[in-house]
Amino acid sequence: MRPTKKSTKTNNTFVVASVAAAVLFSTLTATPANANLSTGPVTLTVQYETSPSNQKEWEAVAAAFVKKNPNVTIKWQIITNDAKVGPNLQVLSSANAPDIGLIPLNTNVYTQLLKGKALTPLNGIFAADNTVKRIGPPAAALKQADGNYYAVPNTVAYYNILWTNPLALAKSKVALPKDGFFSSVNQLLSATNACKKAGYAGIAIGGKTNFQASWMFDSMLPSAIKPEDLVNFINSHDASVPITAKWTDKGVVSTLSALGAIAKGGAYQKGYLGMDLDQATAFFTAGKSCMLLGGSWMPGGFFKDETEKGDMKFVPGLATLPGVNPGSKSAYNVYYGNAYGVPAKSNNKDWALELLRYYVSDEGQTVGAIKGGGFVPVSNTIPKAELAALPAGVKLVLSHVAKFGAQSGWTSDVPGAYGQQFLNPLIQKLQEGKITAAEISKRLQAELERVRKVGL
Amino acid sequence: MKTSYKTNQSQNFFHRDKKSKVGLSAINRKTAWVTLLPLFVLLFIFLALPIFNSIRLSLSRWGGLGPLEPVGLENYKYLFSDSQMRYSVLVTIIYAFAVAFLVVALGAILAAAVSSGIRGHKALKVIWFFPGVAPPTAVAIFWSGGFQPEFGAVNIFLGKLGLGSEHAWLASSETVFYPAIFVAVWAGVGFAFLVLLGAVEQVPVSVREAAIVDGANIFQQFTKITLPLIRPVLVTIFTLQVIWAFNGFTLLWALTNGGPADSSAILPILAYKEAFRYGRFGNAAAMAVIAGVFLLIVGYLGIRKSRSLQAQ
Repeated sequence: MRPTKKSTKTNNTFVVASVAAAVLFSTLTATPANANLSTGPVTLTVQYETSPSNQKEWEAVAAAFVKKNPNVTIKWQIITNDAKVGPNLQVLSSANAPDIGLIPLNTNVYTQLLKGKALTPLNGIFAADNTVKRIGPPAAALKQADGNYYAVPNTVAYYNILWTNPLALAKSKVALPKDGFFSSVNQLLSATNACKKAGYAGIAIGGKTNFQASWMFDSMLPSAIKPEDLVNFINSHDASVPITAKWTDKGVVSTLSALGAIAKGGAYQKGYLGMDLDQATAFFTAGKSCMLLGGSWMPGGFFKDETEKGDMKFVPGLATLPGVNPGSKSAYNVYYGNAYGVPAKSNNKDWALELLRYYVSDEGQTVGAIKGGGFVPVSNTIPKAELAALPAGVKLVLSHVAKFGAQSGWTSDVPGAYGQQFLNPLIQKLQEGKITAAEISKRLQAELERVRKVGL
Repeated sequence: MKTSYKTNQSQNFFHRDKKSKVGLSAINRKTAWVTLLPLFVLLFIFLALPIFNSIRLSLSRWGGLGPLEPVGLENYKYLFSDSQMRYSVLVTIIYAFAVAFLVVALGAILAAAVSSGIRGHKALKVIWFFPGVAPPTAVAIFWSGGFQPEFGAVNIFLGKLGLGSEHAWLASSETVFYPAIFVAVWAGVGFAFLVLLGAVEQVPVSVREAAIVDGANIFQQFTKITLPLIRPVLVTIFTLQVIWAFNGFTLLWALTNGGPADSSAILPILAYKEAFRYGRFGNAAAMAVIAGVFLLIVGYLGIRKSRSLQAQ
């Protein structure tokens, strides 16, 4: 049908209005929350630690972010666990630094970046979206003496979880204690011995890694000392904090002795000091051990992958390490230290801050942490319905923590040079029977005094 | 006299020597310096400056960022009083010499076998060189799995031979160096074999034939003829292997992480941990300086010995 003059005019007006509306709409949807951000093409480089779960998490966040901001392209810089706790310092402080860097809080990397003022303040992120309240106590811990925030936590990781293989436990005729709490080292050893008799290893651990030998110290120490002593152990490396608890105290020595007894009692798989955590996890998922010392990131990662491949033929349950003193309970530890920051030398600070703001927002955490990586989100205001998407194993951990709580771990909270990296080889020596608990406690006290004197 | 003339010539290359007439003219000397200048600049940038900086760092306290804080010889004093450092120096030397000795011995035997034309010698040339091509990290990861008790390939193999399948060599500080040395030798023997094969094949056939006529058996030919004649190459390869094993961070780090309990922390691993785990770059640099001086001496002695053997 040929249009009349009037109808042509009407049509033209409609087309112009539609185009204008479309342009306005696309401009509005492409405009980021921060009006100062450039709308030209931007390429952001983001670091994450190599693992399929981390990859899924970040790719999900990136896809959602790029959809909102089509001018942004995101490139990855994937680093190893070894790199993140050490050599990454040189990368993050270089002229070629990524826009978002992985900065574990309990490492020399974070300590030195703070000292060298090589990080961009993230106060805007913490001020936006009610972030301080949404994150809770970790946010308060991240605030530095100068009043600034320099890192945002990525997810909540619970560790020192004893994942159990119900099939192996049943064949070994081991009944787990109530709620999975082993009441003593002896009770744990009798369970692992029964497993060994049935042809399984007791607990699989990655003793070769630079952190797992010292993990259990975090879980068991609080059961042997007063809460205020733990607080002092976490803070006393700062020379301005008076020492009110000594490493040579009875509770510390008892904890170390208990760790030695567990190793001596043959609780772990053969050759554990020569195995890393991935090898130990594979050992467990292949059904060769009754338990695995692990964390809340495993169900969404290794367990899921191995189940899908058909190599993991059981649904894991939970247990908890024994307390040191009779009647005491140990607990799972909470870690939020695999944090992210924006290097001062980032070339795209504004957009990096915007991506990090989105990453830690409720939407970003839902898209990335929960649905992408299967991690516990760091925000506590995410609707419960969204948490239903978490893997079953993670939900088990969350319900355990909701009932019994979780606690800070000493090696997670103090700088690694004094904490984890110092203690780990000593615990390995203890497990080999080459050093006593009393000697380790003396070395810890001497190191504390050295650090207070000369700094980290 | 011929030898002394050569020495004289090389010593006076840049100097006019009217009597011997071997010096360069002034123009040629200038040209030589100008053409060599880029080389000297590169040597200064990539060799002298890093060495100078390492020494400066070894006399300072530095956490990885910011200015250096001079501390004199404090880092060296700390290292010499540290029991872990003394242990690491000792095991590094033992490890380096053990690996070098086994690599050279095995390389020489394999080279002699291939050179004698054993069956399949052409294929064996490739097969024995093959491990040397693999990246050290891949080699270490492969063997790290192989040495695990029960499910590791080595233990499965030993189990089938009735020798037990639960050996956990990597998990004990007493045994961790056995697999470490085995893997280093496995990865290093290919290069030594190839170089030594070249040397063995340079041994004149007439000398061997004369030995055979004199009734020498294969073992005697190898020990009395082949080995003495390839000694300069053996010494050079041995020296190189000591240096490479001494600096062999990648293989050991991927295989053992320096553990258990720092028992396999050779000097480069200890230096890495000091720098990147503890943020004590000054200590790490001091270790590097000490290791550098040691290797300089090893290299110098090796070259001197090799030259004197060549002269013989």
